[in-house]
Amino acid sequence: MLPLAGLIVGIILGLVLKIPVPPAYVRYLGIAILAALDSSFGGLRASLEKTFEDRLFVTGFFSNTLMAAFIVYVGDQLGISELYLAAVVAFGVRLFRNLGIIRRYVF
Amino acid sequence: MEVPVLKVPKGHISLAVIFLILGLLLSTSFNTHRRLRQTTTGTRKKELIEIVKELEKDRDDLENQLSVLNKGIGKFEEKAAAEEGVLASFTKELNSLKFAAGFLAVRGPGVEVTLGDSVQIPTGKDPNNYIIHDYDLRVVVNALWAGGAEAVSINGQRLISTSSIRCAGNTILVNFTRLASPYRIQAIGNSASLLKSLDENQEVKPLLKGYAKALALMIDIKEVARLDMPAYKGSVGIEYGRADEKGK
Repeated sequence: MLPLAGLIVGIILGLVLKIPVPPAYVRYLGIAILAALDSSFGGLRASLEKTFEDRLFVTGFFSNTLMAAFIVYVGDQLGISELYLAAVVAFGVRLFRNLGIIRRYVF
Repeated sequence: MEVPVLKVPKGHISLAVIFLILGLLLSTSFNTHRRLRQTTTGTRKKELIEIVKELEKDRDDLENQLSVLNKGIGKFEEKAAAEEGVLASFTKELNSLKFAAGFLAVRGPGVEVTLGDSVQIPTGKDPNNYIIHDYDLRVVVNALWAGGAEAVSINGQRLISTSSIRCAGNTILVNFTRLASPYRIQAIGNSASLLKSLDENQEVKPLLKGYAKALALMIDIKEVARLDMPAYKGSVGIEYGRADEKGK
């Protein structure tokens, strides 16, 4: 229940605070969301598998997010802005795999 | 003593924190995209265009009212001038001040400079280089003042002490009125000295001699025996400034 409450509080906070994001950084935000989604579902899965480990989860979340942002940045600097697609694909694949495993536990 | 806390499954606290951040990111992204959509799609633009049009209409109406009222004042002044005495001399002084300030129409010999955007913009080139900008008008106007111009107008907008020439999108605002190419800059004064000033001014030179030819801008300078210039149409609302008697 606690994670769900956290999600709701976060959404409300975001809607209320209305943090302005310059258009140039919208892609960074998108990739950060993908990384966060990936980590969150990974954590959920691990907790269902009873292999959840706090430290691994939290460090994984931040390193994933930062790494994703870094890939986007490097792509921008090198003129290969498509590089961020690599992160999108990697996170996307993991996201669906995690979702599949969670589904098996829940149903 | 053991505190009977709510039994929180292992790891749910860190999960909650991460989910909180996830929610924050999601809603921030949602907000940002909604804002971007609003600014780029037509509805907002249309609204703003409507507002601008309405305000311009209001301004024109007010300008008309102002000119009617000014005419009324003019009649009173004429009446006053017709009478003998102090009032007549005051009216005379008032008129000469108005004349100097640009509030009366004026005619006289002078120079007319026409600047226009390039007719053909080559494909693949930056179109910004092929049009007349606000600063182009400013350097020409400044050169004309420097050459002793007594009155200057651009496309019928008389320049006075508080006039500005600035860029707004793809038009140029003079006295807060939108003007479009070609720009006809008229100056009343000694034609020879005006032409000389235009010829020698270091800021005008690159425009008239260099860019104009290279970029096929429309440039035309000619002496005119009689220019008719309108009065400044707006009013000068001096709200904060006060006459400083000591500075006399």
